[in-house]
Amino acid sequence: MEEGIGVLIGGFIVLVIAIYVIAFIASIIVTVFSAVAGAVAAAGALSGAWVGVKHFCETLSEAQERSQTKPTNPEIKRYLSRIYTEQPAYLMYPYDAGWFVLRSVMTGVWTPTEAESGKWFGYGTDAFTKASAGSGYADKILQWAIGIGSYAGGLCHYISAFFIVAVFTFFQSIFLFLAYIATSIVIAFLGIGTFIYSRYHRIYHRCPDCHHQMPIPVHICPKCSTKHTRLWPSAYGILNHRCEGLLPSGSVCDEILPTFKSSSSTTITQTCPSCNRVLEGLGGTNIHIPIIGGPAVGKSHYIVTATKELLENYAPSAGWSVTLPDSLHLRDYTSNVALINAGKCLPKTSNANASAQAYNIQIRQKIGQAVPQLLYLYDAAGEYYTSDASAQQQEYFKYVHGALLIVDPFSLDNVRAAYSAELQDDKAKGGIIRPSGDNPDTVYENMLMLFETKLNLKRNQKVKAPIAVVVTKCDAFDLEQRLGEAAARNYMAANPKVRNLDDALDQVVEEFLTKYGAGNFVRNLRSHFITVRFFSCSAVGIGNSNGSATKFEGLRVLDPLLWLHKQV
Amino acid sequence: MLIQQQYYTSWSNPKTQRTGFQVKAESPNLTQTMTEALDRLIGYSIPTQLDASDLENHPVALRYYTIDQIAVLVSSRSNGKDELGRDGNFFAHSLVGTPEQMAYPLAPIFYWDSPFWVSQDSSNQEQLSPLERLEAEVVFDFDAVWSFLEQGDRKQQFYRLLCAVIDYQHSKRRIVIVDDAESVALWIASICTFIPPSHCYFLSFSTYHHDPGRTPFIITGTTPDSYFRCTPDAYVSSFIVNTQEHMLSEAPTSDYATFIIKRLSPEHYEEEVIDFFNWLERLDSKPQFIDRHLDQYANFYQFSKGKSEYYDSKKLLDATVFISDVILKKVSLDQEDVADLRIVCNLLADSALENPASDAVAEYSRSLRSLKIHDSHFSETFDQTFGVAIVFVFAKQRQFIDEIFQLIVEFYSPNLIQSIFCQAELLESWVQQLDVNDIDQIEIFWRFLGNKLHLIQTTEAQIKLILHKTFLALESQISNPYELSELALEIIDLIRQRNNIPENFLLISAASYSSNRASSVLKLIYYSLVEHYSLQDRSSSYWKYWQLLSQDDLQEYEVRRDLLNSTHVQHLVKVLQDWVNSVNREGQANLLNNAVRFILSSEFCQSSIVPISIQSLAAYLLPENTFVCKLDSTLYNEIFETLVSEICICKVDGPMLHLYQSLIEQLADPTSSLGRLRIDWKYPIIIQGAIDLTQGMLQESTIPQLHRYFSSMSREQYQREIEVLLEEFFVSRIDSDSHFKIVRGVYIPSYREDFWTIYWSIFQELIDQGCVVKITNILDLWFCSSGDLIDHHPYVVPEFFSELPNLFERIKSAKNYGKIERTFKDELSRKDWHGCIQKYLQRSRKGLLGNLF
Repeated sequence: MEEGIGVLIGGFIVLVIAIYVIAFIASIIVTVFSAVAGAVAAAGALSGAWVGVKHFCETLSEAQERSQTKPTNPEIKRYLSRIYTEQPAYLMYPYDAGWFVLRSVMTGVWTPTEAESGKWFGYGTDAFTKASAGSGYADKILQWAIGIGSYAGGLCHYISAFFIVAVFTFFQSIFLFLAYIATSIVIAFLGIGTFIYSRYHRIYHRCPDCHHQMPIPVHICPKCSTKHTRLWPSAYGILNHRCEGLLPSGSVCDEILPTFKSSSSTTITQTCPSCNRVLEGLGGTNIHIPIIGGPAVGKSHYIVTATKELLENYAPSAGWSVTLPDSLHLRDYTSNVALINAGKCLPKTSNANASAQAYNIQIRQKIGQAVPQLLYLYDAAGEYYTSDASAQQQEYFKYVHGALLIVDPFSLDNVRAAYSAELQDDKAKGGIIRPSGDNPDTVYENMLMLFETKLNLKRNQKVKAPIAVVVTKCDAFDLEQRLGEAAARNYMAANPKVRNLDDALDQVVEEFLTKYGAGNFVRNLRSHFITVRFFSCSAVGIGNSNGSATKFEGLRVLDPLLWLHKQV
Repeated sequence: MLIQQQYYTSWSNPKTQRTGFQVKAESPNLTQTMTEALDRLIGYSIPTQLDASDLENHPVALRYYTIDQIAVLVSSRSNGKDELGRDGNFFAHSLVGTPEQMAYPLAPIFYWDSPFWVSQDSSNQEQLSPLERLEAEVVFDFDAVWSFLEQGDRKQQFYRLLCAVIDYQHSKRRIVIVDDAESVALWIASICTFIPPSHCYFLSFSTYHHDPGRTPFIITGTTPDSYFRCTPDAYVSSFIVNTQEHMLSEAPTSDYATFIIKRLSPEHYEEEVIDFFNWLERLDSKPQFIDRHLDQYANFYQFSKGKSEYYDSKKLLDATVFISDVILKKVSLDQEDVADLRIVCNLLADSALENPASDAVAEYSRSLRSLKIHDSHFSETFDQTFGVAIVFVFAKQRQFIDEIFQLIVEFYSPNLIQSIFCQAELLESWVQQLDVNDIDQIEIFWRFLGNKLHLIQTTEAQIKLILHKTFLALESQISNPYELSELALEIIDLIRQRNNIPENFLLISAASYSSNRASSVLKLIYYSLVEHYSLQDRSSSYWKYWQLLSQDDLQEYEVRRDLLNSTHVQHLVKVLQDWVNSVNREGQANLLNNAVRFILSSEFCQSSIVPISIQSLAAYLLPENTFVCKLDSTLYNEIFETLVSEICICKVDGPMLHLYQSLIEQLADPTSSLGRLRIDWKYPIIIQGAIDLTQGMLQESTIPQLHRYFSSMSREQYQREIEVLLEEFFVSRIDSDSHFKIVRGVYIPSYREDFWTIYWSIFQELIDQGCVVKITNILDLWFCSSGDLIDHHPYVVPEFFSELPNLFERIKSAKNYGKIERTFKDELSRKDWHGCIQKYLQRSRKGLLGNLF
């Protein structure tokens, strides 16, 4: 019995040991199996991660590269054209290229991943095949572990790629969205800021030739001549636009066009979108002053001598910086000054253009003045103001800040009668007085009509713009005595209340006009304009009207202009 | 319409008291539209850098512009002082009329510097009399154009300028010439000289303008100090000839400009350019503008005159199509238009020939169609059209030949078409063009031309030569007279189908060709003629040629080809039978033996349409007494040997079974042909075995012979044979008698292993196929009926049962065992011996990992 129990116990112990040993061996097998499978899977996962990152980087790099050269998506351009005028330029990264990159990465990563994971699945399949063919248990376990690990590794490639693409998609989307918001804010801020700044400083872009007002001149790409109508911060770039125009070779231009003048030294030709005239020096506080008068009253002479006076005498003494930014204006001015300096009359202003052309004068009253003043002096042929049809074509009256009406004293019948003998004599001697044949009333009526129609004035509404009435040709005969400084001083002496020479001159000229039959003209002026001041001047200088002068020097030519400048 | 005039200058009008620029005088009928047009064109401004008083140097602005069928010609020039004595006045003398009045016959630029133009008017006249026609004195020196263009690099500049003018309609690029007005006038005069006069209407110009950027003219001259800025981008957006800075814009090249620049001399101008202008004016007297159509005109003109220095098929095609359209748009065509249309056809034909393309051929076809409508002598174009077809044939432009020949058939009379095939010279040229090395060309020739060849006395020699060349080409294709390429067969078929060459002539030509060389051409041609006829018809019409052509082997070839054309064995035997019956008795044996020899030859095997096995042939041939009696004994023996050479014990089809049974009978008869033969002892066993296997009844007498037969085999042969045998055996019904008879017959102790390997493998197939009942029956046989087997092969039964456990293991591990398990066990459970094998059917319990190993 005891022996039986002993055998039983012994058997039990052997059984327990056997179970233990089997369990131990099984645990070793499971551990080894798991370790091998895990190691292979880990290798696969690591490979997947590495390959995923590698493929991602390659795809991203390729997409980035392609995004730089691919044509802008026309659909996006069309959509954005509701906000931003369509331009021949690439859109900014957050508007087009960024989404292209995102899409390219999302679709492009899978092909190399599939190829790479396919290798691992291949390894797994091979391992399972070897396991089936293998004879030993150890070999089978090993191959099964490798097979499972390889499949897991292959799967990890997809997981890695998916994870990387998901992370990229998330961050790229966020980035693009934020960038879109940020750039939109910056663009809006710059746009609103520019608008307010422009309005505050009265900065407008107006063509001096066709008088078209434009938000911005057309910029011509210096490389491919493509027109950029809105080269300003927009979806096409904040600091610059990248030109998408085509070169004659058919390749894309790719020229970087700065949206801010200071951001590049590149000179980009600007043109008027209406008449295609090349524009130079636009962009200051606009002051539009037409010089009005009938034929031969001396408008061109006045403009040239006044400008000369301003540039050569007044500006240096006042510390102003005055330039003619338009090279053509400067060229004309220079040639006209040469004529004046030689004592020659300027030729008759042609009416070849439908409307008056403006001279642009840029004025900086202080050194470093950020926004210069841009004076538009419109030199219209006298014929423009002697017929209704021509007058109506003077579109710039919409913008004028003041007017300078030039009156030839000899166009007044009474003055002409008073000096008939002298005028005959002057004509006989080849003098340059040449009285204008058109009565100032005709010119005035056309000018007033222009103000009323172009400014849409109501009945009896006065014109707010100041008007300087300038009686020229004071150099003739004894007119300087009657209209000039001497007369003004006499007036001051007679009227002690008038303490200012300019005020006295204003009175003297007004009285002169009234006295010589232009009373109606003066009254009309006073009744239609809020601010009127009379001036007298000579564009050729005293003693130079007899045709023998060697040089013309203006007399008080700048005063009306400075007064107008001060008024506006 | 009268030409209205206007003077415009700065003056003092005493009536209106107005001074300054205003109309001085004008014709009474100047309308508002005309006045507005003039206002935009007459403006003049002295160049800023010139002395206003130096009138001589002030540029003259001669301007020409058209708008809405109104042409304006203005001469604006500086005229000194105005009414107040100021410099800067100008005087504009304007004419307003129609373009025809202003620009025809002389281009307006040639009124440059004419004394007609008024520059001062001190009269008091306010009305100007209208002009009936422009009769201004022309003082322009036309020859000055030549000397002007000769200077410097002006020719090159002129070429590009002309290109720009022609491109203007498309690009709208303003043309600006920065030069003195005199030169600008010469530039414009040069252009007007070299564009057709009718096109000068549209060339608006201004010899001078102070601001070319704002003018409506195509060409505007200006001075360097004008308001026009020659910036780099301006050179792109406008076409600028800047003679001051020697700069020139790029312009797209123009064929017209190229045409002109090559004729830039007075001689060429007189000879060619004027001729071109005349031609163009006749063709298109009312152009709409100056544009790239001039390129097409110039190209067409050059191509039509054969003066194009280079050949560009696309340009030729474009130009001819364009001209064709221009002509056909006309309301009515005159003779010259028709002549041009003919040239269009000619050029399109050239184009189609030079560069055969579908569009070229289509256009050629279209132009022919048009010409047919308008040309009363259309038939004269036949030679050309046919020529195109011929070129296409010899150039192998198969895709277009059909279309052209369809046109020929549609457009020209059959007689006309037929007549060309009677021209010996033409045929001679075809002979020369036929390339014997180009079988494709020969095929196309016969397809499109050969079928229309007409044998007459004048053409006989040429047709013979054509046939000769064809035969030569065919010869190169014949490596085996019975196995011809598709192309060769096609050609032969085409030759056969020709209508106008008698068969007799054809066969004689072929015989003549083949007489001096070992050629099969005659046979091929002959057979192509006869093959579609019955033997009876052949005998009456064609067999005479066997003698006539002295070609003895024609018959043999005919028989052979007929045999080769047999589609199956019965057909073959039928053909053979027909041929034997169709010849006289003396020749029957010879014909039969020759035919059978041919059938047995490798030549037949290679060339026959369908593979015909000797066994199947023998099956139909040997039972036929009519054949057997005429067959040569050696041939008979050969057939038999061939028949049994690859014979094995297998199932056979009905005819073969019939043959085997016949053979067994003949073998048993010592008087029969076969009985007299000494044949291998194995063949009767094989034949009998095959008969028994086919009939499913293995005769007891056959078993020892089978055993002997298999014992005599090598191991490899044994393996091969019993595999076939057992496979077929297991497929057929299984009964104890047959099963053990076959085991007795094929089981060879020395090949024990091989036997069981094959046996079990076939067994395995039954398992895989799920043949439960069959497996059960076989097992049942072994358990219940294998006792008799022990007498013959004492160890077969133990060998079977010793392997049985493994068999069950294999059954259980079979893939589809799961599906058949229940049925299988049910079937087995019905058997008495089920208890013996029950334990082998139990599933062993395996652990979780057990299935892995």
